[in-house]
Amino acid sequence: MKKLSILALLLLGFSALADDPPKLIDPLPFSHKTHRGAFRAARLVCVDCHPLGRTTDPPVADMQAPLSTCHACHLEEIPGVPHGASNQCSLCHSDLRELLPANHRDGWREDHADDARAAAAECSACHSNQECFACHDDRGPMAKNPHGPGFRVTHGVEARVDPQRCTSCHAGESCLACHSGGTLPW
Amino acid sequence: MSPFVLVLLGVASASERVDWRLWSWSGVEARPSYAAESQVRVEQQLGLALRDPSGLSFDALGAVRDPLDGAWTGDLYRLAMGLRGPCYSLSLGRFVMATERGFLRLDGAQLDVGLAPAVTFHGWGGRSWHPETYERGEDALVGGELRLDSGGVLSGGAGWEGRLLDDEVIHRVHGYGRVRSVRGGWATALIEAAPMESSDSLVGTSARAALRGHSPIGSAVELGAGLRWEDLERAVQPEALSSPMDWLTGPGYAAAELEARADIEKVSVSAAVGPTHHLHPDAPRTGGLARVGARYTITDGLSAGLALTGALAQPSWVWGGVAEARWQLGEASSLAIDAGWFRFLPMEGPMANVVESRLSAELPLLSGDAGELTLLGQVAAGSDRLLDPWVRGGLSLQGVFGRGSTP
Repeated sequence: MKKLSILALLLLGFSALADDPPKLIDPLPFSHKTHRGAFRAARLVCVDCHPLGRTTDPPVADMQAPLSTCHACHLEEIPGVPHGASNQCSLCHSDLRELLPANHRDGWREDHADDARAAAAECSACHSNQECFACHDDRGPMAKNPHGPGFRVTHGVEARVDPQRCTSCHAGESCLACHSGGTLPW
Repeated sequence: MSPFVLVLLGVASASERVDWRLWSWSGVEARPSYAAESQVRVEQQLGLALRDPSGLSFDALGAVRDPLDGAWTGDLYRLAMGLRGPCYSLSLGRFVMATERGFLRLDGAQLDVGLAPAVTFHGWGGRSWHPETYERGEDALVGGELRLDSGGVLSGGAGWEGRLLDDEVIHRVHGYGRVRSVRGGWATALIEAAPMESSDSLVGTSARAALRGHSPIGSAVELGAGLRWEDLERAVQPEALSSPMDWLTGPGYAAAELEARADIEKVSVSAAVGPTHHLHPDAPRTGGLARVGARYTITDGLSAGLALTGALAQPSWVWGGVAEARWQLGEASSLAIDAGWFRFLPMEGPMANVVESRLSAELPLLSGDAGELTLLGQVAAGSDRLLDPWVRGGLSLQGVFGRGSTP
């Protein structure tokens, strides 16, 4: 099952690589010697990573392992692989901005809720649940304000248009903090 | 510190295999004022997450803050331990639960049990609390949900939740379904309902329902649409708390959403409209939101944008726009400035012009495999609708350090 998963991952990786591949650190900091123990623990043999005659798109030389195989362990995409492989993207990727999915454009922070619910598994490739909660639950005064500029002006009308959108974070008491006491909450 | 944490910290220091992450946020913010008393506040947040390969985990996150008026306050957002096995996971303590209905904060327990390859039972119980008001539910809640998800195109679930309030049980049922396309499109449906009772008889059912869809058109265009009916509070806060919906709507309202986005080379444009209709028996009203935005990438790392916003909720309305420029310096340093002007008709009072501007900067101090330390700053100034000027500014230091997979 594990090997089938790796094969599926390789094929997906090949299709993803059909576009411009992200730039990698050259030379890639990979060594068979340092990975020997991990491969043994995962019971991986040479042909699990090296395609050896399998048809791939784009084609790679038989002995060249597709780079997507790295993610099997380093992003824990394959259940049962050895625990502890670093998931720091900067280990191999020289420009992290290239790794941003296409939908992570301007305004994504404000609009990501529906996508996150519909495709949670895709989020978890890079993010943990704790990252969701870091913004949705913490109350840092400056760094995590999800509202754009001008919201202090527009929120009164917006709240009356669609009050349920406020409810996911705010209780009615938070309206009172400003609107009845006359002072802003600190 | 609990003995459990000490044990896990000991294990973490002794074992190469325990993943850990320490997160810290320190901030100071000032709001000087000529007319009134100037205000300054400081805040420190600290979080720790530990993951042991055996499946044990620990999460804690808290904050202390001082508005410099002599009254320190502290908040505990999370303090939970977890246990994960081949076909189950268990969380105990104060934690956040991500559900299809929203983020539910619980003091209690949640349990996931795999019943079959694509079937999971999700159960929870405890007391809910609210991170903004720090109100804790007086009575218990308990719920369960069956989830069907093979990781493929279709998934869904259905469940029940009961809350005890004043010796009465408030029942809620919900169901949802999702379909995804291999090209990145998706559609979701959610319905949640609760019976409404008056003394000893059932007088109706309150419900919220939503249908949403999203689809890429080619490689440059995305379209999204949605329809909602809102007549039920979200079950994400203690039942006894009021919500903005209590005050701002009558027996319910319908909302539609339509949005489009296109990215063509260096230009990105987006538009969204969201009309709503409130069914208040005395004064039904129609309103809505509209947004149009455009962004142009001038050079690699430098971009400028303009966003126009309008909202109408009779008898008040607001419209205006914000111009923004961002400069990304390297991977983590950034500088952003925006300035906005709005014309605002409040429910009471004369029409007003409101302006505001912000300058934000982010500077990495340390960056490496072991962690990151970032300095953030922001200064903002403007006028309110009475044309009174205001200014505020602050600095914060954010650090994330850890080892292993993202806990």
